[in-house]
Amino acid sequence: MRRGAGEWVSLAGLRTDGRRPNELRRVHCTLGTYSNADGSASLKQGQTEVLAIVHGPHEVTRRSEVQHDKCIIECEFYRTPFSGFDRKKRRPTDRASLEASLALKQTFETAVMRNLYPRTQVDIQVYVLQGDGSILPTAINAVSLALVDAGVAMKEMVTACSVALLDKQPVLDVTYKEQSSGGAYMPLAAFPIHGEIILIQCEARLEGERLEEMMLTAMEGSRQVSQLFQTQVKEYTRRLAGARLALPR
Amino acid sequence: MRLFVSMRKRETPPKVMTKLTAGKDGYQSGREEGEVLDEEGTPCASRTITGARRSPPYTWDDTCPISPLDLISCRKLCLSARDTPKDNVSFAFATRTADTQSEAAAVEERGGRERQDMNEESMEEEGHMDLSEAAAGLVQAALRIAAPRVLLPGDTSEMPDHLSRAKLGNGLVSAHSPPRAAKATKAGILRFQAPNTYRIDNQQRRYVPKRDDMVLGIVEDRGPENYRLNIFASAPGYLPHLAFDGASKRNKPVLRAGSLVYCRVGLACIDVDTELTCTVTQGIKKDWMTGESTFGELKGGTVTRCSLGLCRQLLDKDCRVLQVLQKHGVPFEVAVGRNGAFYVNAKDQGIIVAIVNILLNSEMIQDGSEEQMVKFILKSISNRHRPSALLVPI
Repeated sequence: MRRGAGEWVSLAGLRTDGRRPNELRRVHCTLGTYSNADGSASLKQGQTEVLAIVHGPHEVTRRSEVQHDKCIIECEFYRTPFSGFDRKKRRPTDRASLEASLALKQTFETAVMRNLYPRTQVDIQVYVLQGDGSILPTAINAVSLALVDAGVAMKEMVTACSVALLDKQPVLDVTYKEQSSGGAYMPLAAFPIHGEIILIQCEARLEGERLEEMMLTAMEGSRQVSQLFQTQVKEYTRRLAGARLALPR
Repeated sequence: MRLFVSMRKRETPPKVMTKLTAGKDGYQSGREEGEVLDEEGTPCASRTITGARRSPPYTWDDTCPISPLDLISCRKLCLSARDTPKDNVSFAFATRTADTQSEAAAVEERGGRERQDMNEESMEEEGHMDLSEAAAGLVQAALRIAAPRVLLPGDTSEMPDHLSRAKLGNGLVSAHSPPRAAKATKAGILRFQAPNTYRIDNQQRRYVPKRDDMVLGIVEDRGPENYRLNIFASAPGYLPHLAFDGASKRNKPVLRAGSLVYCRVGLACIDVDTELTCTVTQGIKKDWMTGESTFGELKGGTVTRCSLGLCRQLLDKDCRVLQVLQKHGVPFEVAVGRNGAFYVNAKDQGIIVAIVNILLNSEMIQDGSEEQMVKFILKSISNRHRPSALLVPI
């Protein structure tokens, strides 16, 4: 495809922050940040920082909604007032937050092995501390880590990545400026090992043949995130289990 | 790579072993006289220790082929003296070295339980060792089983073929794509528990009730037939009114909401309410009225929630921290529940706080530093009339 010589991807193939189109932002994750919860994780992708907290599985709070054979997953998505460029106090019930909560709920209803926890409920809360684009994919990744920290059984770790069409080229892991540039923005969540897509959202106009290209790029992005998580989570698990011993690494 | 020689006494001096064979009684070790020879035919120094497998859980085939890369991570299977198990098998391989000071690797495999500290090896630590054919088979079996791997949700692991039927415990489900494989659903270390159970050891805070576990529960409500207890699991547990030793309709303990109870899990199933009981099946049975029964209400003191891993450590027979505390002669009482909670009581409030901090800190502390940590905290308690001596977790 033609290398864009536009404002988002330069002739040299660099974006505004110096990344290549297929390059993710630097990822920094910690598990177990919030010790009162069953599971928690803090994930920072570039400047986007998200805190995910998992409570559960516990008894269902609303008795009328009990499901006898699986667990209910409740998600809440909060964007803190200081997360955007302007300070804006947002209600948890505004449209964008509700849509994000629904997307999280649907993603993790697929990923969590719900039949192992009948008549229970898992609460997932996501707090966006800093929003610099790709908030939903970062949230999905953070919740994956938090569920791993909580010991909730999952089919596989879900990883997500966003892709946008800038200067006729799909670019991965977009920042806020790139996301609001007007090009098609598409977050995608997948099972990286199995290669199954769980969630795609796209609200912009897109040429038909571009769709597959963008999906493949996003899948590749989610695989990169998954590889990162593999090393991080394994290291964390090893540390937890072998913390007492002075082990050579 | 550090190598240890087994410390166990042997009646006969060690003999050169060429083949571990199944003796007359299963696999009590059969020893064969002989020499371990190089490829060139020169005898090489070797040491062998074959122990008897006291309780043979499964059969092994001593002719199964082995690849040298497979085995010799004697990693943490080379254990420190502390971990020398009482009744176990130990295997040794003959190494091809010319020196008289040969490198002996005593690999001890636990027949019954496995320790957490056994499994932190990295697979990269391999020595260049040759194995005698026969030790190979047995050790391959042992190490393939005992090989610790960190699995993430979605990772599959093959089960060794010689196990006739492997049970999948916590965190594992059967996978279909490679046959005889298990898929992990939680992140943790894959462990084997004799005779045929695999599980994922992971660290979580929420308890999953299992039969015969001793747990701490807080009474939430009193029903007509039983008490509802919060056992920090996904559902409450139910303790019948009369589930105390020596209790009858007229003579039973009265528990109020908020009481702390040390009890045992009677029935645990995901589809049914968890049943708890304060009766004792094994050991000394004392009436609840005497106040000396193992289970029952715990008065005074404080209860602290922690992770399941810490509780496992504290309930271990050789828990270091508790041994150190015993050595210091601190008077206190502790009850550890498997459900991520422990109770501490002592006459002095300061000691209670100190013990709670010591136990919480012992989860992540390095082996060998417990002594230091305990001394530090106990010292700051003894100086507590000075406002500057605040407890700071290390």
